[in-house]
Amino acid sequence: MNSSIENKIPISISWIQHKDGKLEPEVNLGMDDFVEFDGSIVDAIVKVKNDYQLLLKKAERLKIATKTKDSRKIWRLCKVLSEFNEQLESNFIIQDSVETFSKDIRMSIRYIRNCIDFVNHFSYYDVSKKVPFTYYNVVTDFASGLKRLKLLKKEKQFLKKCGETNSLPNRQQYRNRLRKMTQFDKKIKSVSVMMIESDKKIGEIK
Amino acid sequence: MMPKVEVDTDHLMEDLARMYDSGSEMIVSEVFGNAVDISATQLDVTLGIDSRGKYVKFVNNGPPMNNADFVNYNTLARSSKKFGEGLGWAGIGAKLYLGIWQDSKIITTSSDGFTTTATELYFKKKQLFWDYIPSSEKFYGTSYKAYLTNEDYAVLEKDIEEIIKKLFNSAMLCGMVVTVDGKTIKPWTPKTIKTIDCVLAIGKTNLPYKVLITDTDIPSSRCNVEYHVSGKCIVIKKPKNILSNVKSEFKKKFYVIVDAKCISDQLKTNKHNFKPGIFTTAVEPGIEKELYRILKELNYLDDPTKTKTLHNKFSKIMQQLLKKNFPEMNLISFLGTNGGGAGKQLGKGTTISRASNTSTRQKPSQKSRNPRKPRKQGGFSFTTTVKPSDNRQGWIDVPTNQIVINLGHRVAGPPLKTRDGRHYHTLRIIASQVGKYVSRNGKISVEEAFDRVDNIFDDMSGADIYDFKAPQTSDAILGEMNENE
Repeated sequence: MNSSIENKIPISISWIQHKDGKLEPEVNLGMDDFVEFDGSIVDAIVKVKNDYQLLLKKAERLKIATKTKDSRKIWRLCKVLSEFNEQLESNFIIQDSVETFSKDIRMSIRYIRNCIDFVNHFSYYDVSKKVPFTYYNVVTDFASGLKRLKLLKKEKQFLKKCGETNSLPNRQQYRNRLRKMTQFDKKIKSVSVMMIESDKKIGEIK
Repeated sequence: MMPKVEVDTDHLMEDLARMYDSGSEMIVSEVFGNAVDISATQLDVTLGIDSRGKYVKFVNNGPPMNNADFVNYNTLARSSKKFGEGLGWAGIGAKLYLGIWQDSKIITTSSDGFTTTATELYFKKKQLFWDYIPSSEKFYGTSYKAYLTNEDYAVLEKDIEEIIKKLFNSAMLCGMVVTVDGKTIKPWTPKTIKTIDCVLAIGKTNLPYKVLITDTDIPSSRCNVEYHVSGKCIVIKKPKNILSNVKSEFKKKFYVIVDAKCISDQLKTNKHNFKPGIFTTAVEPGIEKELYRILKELNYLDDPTKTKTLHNKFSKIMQQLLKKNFPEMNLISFLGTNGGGAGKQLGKGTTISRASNTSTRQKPSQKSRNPRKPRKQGGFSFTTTVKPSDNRQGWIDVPTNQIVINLGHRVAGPPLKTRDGRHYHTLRIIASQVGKYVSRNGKISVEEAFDRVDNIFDDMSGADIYDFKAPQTSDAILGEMNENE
């Protein structure tokens, strides 16, 4: 049964050591969801468990890809992470997935969050092999501000061009550049707030 | 010359007859089916005793048989009917009673009102024979007379009316007149307040069906969806996937009649069910889906919020009963109450703060604006595993401090198929594991633990979880239970 994300059953992953000594991820779910599940609960649990084990295998490749610094490869693997909960054919959704992935893949929460944000803000074609993943992380940190200023698309193009022409600025310099751009946004905002407030005061005096 | 393959006729007939549960039902089903297939509008059934024994006789007013028809009729496994166009096709049904009782005789007579032809089919020295016999009967149609065993005769004498109503009610509703020993049988007619005619399209096949909404409860044996071919009820199915959503007062107030003639090629040989295939993958789910839509329009379905309350009721009551019976236990640590257990377990040796979940990072305004946010896991939770090789049905996993239920255990299969079964299975395992844990820690004796587990079951059965009229909150139910005590 296909489920939209709101209707999916929240689960969590527990690592259980079995009689044979194997440590396996097992599904933890609420009793009411278990009782009311429509269809074969065993099949659904086996499926999500297998999918999760597959995800962990792919995540191991993500770790290796991080060392090779191939951003496109990293993007592909990040996509797998980000879409795990959104699989249409799955009835379940892993609660607090970032934390769960972080523990089970043994990467920091911040790194996992960056990976997911990377996929959310960049398409595969926005990503250049010649631009290290860390630069994309810098962009995702400022992505919301850049989006508001409608500069995100331009920035993606700028980064891609710099990579292709081997003219990437130093990472700190690049961060400063984005900070300045978004601070400008904050200034504009504060000026507009001031203007609204002064308009109000004038109105009150009148 | 190549040797010809011989057929052990008596053995073959016996084997074929084993498809049916009983001889009495088989004879009614097959002879009635033949009458329906030739579009007879009247069938008179007589039970009697003559010099040769006890018999049942069916007389229909369908087109009479000619000599060629008689030859075909008396040839085993030869039929003038085509497979997939009605009930009969195998050419064995009418002769099959001889497979149940080889001393029986089957006398078939056909007349157009002027000329009459009659044959007798019988076993002699384990070989099947038929002969023309003289007959002076004059009527229009065909009669079928079979000599019965004492047991089958007794069953038919007592229940023939019920068997006919059970199997051929739709045929009678469609105008077929049936008499038993001269008395006309009235078909079971539900008192309908509304009839909805629909068609279910499956590929190029159209299945007409009728939804009858009744104001009185229909009998349990007729609940709720009848699939019939040419007026013969093949199977009655409960729409189990939607029944749990139907308001309790309406569960027996709808009846669906599906004309499944166009999928008669899917019939099992005994015509008491359909083969797995298109019926189970498309027809049954399709009917349930349509029925869900119709019942929803009629407001016969439960309010989802009310259903959810009911759902939560089970785990809430269970939680309180466990607390009441095992006050020594810290249930939150085992069953992850109050917010589930997401992210709280230890991974492969890494620990993280449980508080660092997404909800604490979001501003309240952002939270409310996000429509895609999934609901939270609340109430009781436990860990599942599917390990058929593990003989434990459940256990407490010490490192994670959680109750693990093994859904792959061989006794877990049947209970997991129904909601009540899941209730019972989880309650049994959780209660027994909690009892085991408490007694192992020396807080109570093993005997005491068993008694408390029994108490939990006793209290749960008294809680009347599915009664809508009962108080909706678990506190109220527990209060009521305490009052009763």
